[in-house]
Amino acid sequence: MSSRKSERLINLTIALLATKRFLTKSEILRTVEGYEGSSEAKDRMFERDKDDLRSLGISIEVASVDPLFEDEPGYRIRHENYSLNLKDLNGQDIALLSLAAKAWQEASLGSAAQSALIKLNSLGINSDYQSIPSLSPKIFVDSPHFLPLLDAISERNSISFQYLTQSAQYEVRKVNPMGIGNRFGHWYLVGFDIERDSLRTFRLDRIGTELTVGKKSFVFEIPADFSASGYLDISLERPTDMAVILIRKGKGHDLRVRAESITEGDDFDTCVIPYPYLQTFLNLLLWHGDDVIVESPAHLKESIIATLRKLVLIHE
Amino acid sequence: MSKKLPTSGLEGASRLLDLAPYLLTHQGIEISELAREFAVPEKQILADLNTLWMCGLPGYTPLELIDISFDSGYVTIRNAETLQDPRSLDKNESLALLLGLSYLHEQLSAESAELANEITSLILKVRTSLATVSPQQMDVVSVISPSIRALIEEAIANRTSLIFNYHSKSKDSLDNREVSPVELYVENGSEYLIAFCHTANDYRNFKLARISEISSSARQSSSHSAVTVDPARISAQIELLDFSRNVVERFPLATPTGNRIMDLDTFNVEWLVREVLSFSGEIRLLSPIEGRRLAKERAARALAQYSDTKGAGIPLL
Repeated sequence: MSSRKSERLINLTIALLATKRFLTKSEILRTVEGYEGSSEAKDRMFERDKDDLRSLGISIEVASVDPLFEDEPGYRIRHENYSLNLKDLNGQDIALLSLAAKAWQEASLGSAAQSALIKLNSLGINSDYQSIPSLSPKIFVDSPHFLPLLDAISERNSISFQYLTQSAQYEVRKVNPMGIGNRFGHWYLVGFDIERDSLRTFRLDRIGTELTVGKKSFVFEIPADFSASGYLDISLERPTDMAVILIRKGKGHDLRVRAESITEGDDFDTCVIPYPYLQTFLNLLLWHGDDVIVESPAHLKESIIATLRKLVLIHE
Repeated sequence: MSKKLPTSGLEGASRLLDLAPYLLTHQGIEISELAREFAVPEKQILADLNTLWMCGLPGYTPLELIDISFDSGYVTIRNAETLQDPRSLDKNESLALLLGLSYLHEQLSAESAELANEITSLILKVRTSLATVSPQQMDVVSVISPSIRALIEEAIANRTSLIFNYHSKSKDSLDNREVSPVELYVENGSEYLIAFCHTANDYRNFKLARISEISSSARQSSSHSAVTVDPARISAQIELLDFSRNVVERFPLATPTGNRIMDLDTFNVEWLVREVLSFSGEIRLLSPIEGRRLAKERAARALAQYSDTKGAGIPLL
């Protein structure tokens, strides 16, 4: 059954691609193989087939009222709309595009990347891997929201979802999604929070199971100077404070790599380390136990002393 | 990757439209290779070829039909010029390429301005099929450099060895290792390498994010079979005292009203103690007893370092 249907769809595509002029429906039903049954059944079949081809991204051109055909619409597929429109690609381009596709592996866009790769390989251009460095790129995505968010970004749909806040509560957020990116192994959505009236970032794994996408497309605009990477850098990476930490010699490797300066001492080195969030930084310092001593700022020093006291107490 | 055999007519048609141009530029390809490229069983490819062979221009005489031969196990195609162009990219295909290119751009821009320019022009070309998305809306970076991963994959394939610095987080030590890599795997979004470590003379797991200064070494690996490193598990019990986002994300099963006591398995008491301390008192370790004692001692030792500070030396409560 299904191969009969595929066969008919291919025959229809070939007929519409091969024709220079528009073909009328009656011509199509008469000449293209696979249209059988009553004229009503054939009509229904043809309507469904057109929708199916369009769902595959094939654009069928319709000449609505042509006096030559007594008001019967005519159909054809233009080659320039049908064909892959990546022009002037050389072997190096194919190698780069192939690497871009292979990065996806089995991740959420994996099957799309695979079919893109097949199309690229069908161009008959040999990929030139010699001209680029040896690379094995991999993109990891584990959020079920990734694809729906990409869709909403490209269609400019407003979205709403439950978001896990700092206080571990779920709150509803209504957002115009603008961009997506990853940092530190997490994916982030950058979007305009409608109720808070400002641009915000949302970590994808903190979005609850239900994501509601508005039905209307193009309900907002993305400013011309918007940059996802720029915004992620500002909101996630900019250090807001500097700490002076004494770190035991040969210890604290993941603190040392963040240090702006390290002054060597006898048992401890003095490290100046920028940090964006006090609590996250405090947690990291505590991981290192007595290999670190906070010198400044004073409020960080007070926090770590209070926390250490609590830790002693609760482990009595 | 395998798909179920009875595919829908639409999915089949989509594959056939991709199959024709692919065959035209890969005359004489083996059926098994074709199946692998299209990620479907050979049986499906044979069914597809039989369908495609029935298609052609109206008239459907041998002059108009697509001519395919594959009896020999190698496929050749003729008379399929109408379908010779690969189809335009659909939305998800364009997105996959755009995000992939954005990632390559980030990786290569430091190495080669020329390649970075080339990638930028490719991004613009791909974008023409997806006008509503601009490269500025996406930013893909990576924790692991793709050239480091390529070096490791080459060493696995060629059975050569690697030398690198490894930062052990639980021991907080940085040491130089020579290893014969066995395989790469992904767990919870992080990448790991299983390798025979010549320094430890045993198999070890290495987290790629903590490898630095990597280079290949002349030592040939003897044949290693894939092994699972399975050290003894230690069961531990913790109590959740606060429900911050940090706690909820680490222990998703916990609820503020019910489950406050969590059982967990660990391979390493040192790691467990460090992790418990790094929760700033939002959780406490109940067992094993030695871990609990260690947590208290370490916190007390750290606290003692502030004893010259006003207030820190006062005995607890």
